[in-house]
Amino acid sequence: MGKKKGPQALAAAQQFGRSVAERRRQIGLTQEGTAERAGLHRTEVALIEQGGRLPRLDTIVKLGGALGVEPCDLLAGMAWKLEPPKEGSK
Amino acid sequence: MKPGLEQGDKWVQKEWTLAERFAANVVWFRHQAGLTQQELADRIGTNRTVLSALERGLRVPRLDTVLKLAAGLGVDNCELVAWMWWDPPRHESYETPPEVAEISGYEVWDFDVPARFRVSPVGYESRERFKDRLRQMREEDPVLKLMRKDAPKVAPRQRPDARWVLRTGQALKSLREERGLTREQLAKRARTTAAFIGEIEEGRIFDPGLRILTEICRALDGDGSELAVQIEPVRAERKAAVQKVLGRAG
Repeated sequence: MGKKKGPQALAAAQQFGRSVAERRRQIGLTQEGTAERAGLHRTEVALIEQGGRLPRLDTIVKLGGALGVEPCDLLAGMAWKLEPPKEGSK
Repeated sequence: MKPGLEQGDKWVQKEWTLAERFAANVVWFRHQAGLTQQELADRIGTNRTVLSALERGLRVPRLDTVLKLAAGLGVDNCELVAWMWWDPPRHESYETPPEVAEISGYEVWDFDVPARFRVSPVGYESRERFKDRLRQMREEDPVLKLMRKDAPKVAPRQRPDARWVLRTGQALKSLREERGLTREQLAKRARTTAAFIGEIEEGRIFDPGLRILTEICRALDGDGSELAVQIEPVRAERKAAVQKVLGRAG
């Protein structure tokens, strides 16, 4: 992840992390258990929950499956505010 | 050819990848919005080449791209990530020695289908049907079954008191002996060590952890509720005591 992340991306990552953590606690899984079920590494689940990582779509779907929800439930309430297109860009 | 499919549905036989499924969703909603690739790319502030690769299923987008696309296409996030699912792996892939199987009437379970993405090709099944399928899969999930609200629950990370620990150990021991298993045999099934089982049984381990308890439950009866049922009353008692201390009983 060498890419720079904008403030919106960081906020999105954090919100995603929160919804994952919330759902995980709700069903009483540990981070380790979640990681095992999602086929991810424990540290990655921890990192995502802290909002330190923008997960790829496959990770989102994996986490959804591991937590027994549809991927879309983890994205609930997230919206992106688009910037107006720059003038003069081809 | 799958039964019930027309010649024209031949593309259904193709294995769809997750990226292709996402790509199909994007293309569908882009056409509905009447946008060209260039227009959509401009809206979300990316390059047309990048969008093109994404729409051919060559790229797996990150969270921000998914959100940007949903905003650019003016659709709900759910629409873009519909028809995708992941099956958690099931840990039933250990072998039971034949003599153990004889003693306990224990069946060697089949190796389960490996975990993988499930995607539905475009137009192949309705969203209702796909959701039904997901619901069914979720209901069959042994771990989620154990964690459902109405199921007797073994919560992780709740510091059990000494009595809880002792009770867990006793329950485990009696269940194990009921099945005529030695510690070694149980350990082999639960993929842990005999020493660890011993520690639990003698009440020396605080909070063995949900994963290992689940493994042991499965090794014991393939269901997991039995051990949980024995533990539950003590936990309820403990919860009441804690609530009393905190002054918000009831």
